[in-house]
Amino acid sequence: MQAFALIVAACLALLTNMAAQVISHRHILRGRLAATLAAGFTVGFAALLIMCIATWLLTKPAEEFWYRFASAVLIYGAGSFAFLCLVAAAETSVRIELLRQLSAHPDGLTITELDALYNDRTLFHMRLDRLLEVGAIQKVDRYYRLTSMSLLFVARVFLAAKILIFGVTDEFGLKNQPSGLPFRDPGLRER
Amino acid sequence: MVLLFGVIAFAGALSIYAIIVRSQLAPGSTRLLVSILFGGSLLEVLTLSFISPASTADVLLALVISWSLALAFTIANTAIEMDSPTQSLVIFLHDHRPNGVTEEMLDAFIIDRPFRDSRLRGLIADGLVERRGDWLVCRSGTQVLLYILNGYRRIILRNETTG
Repeated sequence: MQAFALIVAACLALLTNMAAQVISHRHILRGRLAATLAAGFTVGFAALLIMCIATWLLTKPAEEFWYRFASAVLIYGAGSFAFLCLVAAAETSVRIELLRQLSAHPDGLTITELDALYNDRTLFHMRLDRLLEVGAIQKVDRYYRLTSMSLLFVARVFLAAKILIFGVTDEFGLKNQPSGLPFRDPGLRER
Repeated sequence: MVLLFGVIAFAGALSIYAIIVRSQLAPGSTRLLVSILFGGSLLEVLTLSFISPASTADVLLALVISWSLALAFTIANTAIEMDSPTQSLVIFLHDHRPNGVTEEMLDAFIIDRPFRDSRLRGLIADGLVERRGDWLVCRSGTQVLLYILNGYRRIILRNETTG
């Protein structure tokens, strides 16, 4: 009973997180995506705590409660992280942008046509402009410099995960490429 | 015990995926990752519950823990197994401190990292895009994914993307 209640509590807290994020983005912090994600997480976590306290008061106290409570927090944290990544994907993912470009043309696109719409230079300069706009990097004279240590921390965490799990420092060093093709696919380029 | 079951099941399944990719038994792909993380976690939780019996509710809780971790990892994996352009740029800039980098150095950075074609191959490998002769075409399943993501963006009244 207690375990079921905590699973439901974690799921409801996650839904609260999403609803709070949507409402705050529509009505309170319009356009400030990061702030609304933080607000959603905080409201959802508060809802989780309230529901866990209610579960603790309403069910028979058990030694396992704290482990189950920690489990509910972990489920909520993982779910919130997945939601954050999904929002980020909808916003900045190269894969999603490629799908948008291709789906806008039901008959498809050739590589040459795709090059004209979306290429490495386009996607890279979008990111450069965004980082300059938020002050994460600065351009002084003719030199770009990193100023955001929090972005560096996130990049290092992902780099550490890459090294730990896959044993490489970047995808271009991966021996296995999807579909077994060499990294530079001449078939894609020559069209 | 429940918490441990869930985390061990996820870590075990992730280790299996890492071993397969690192030893080149199969190329890494989202499809393979999802199969191993979700299927492997289920098998591991069931196995662990036989070794150390637990109530049905606790087994379910362990399964939800491992699947929520699997979901989070699957979505984040494009920035772990593959490189995020933003994170690559951040590390590139940090590596060239304190002077910083010039436009010419950034041009070389772009040429060395053809992110778009890398992602395109990933989409083809995952069955979201297919080649029809010279044409690249979205498959039907893609529309569902875009419908969800674009629908969410419409709900929060966000019009511009920066992808």
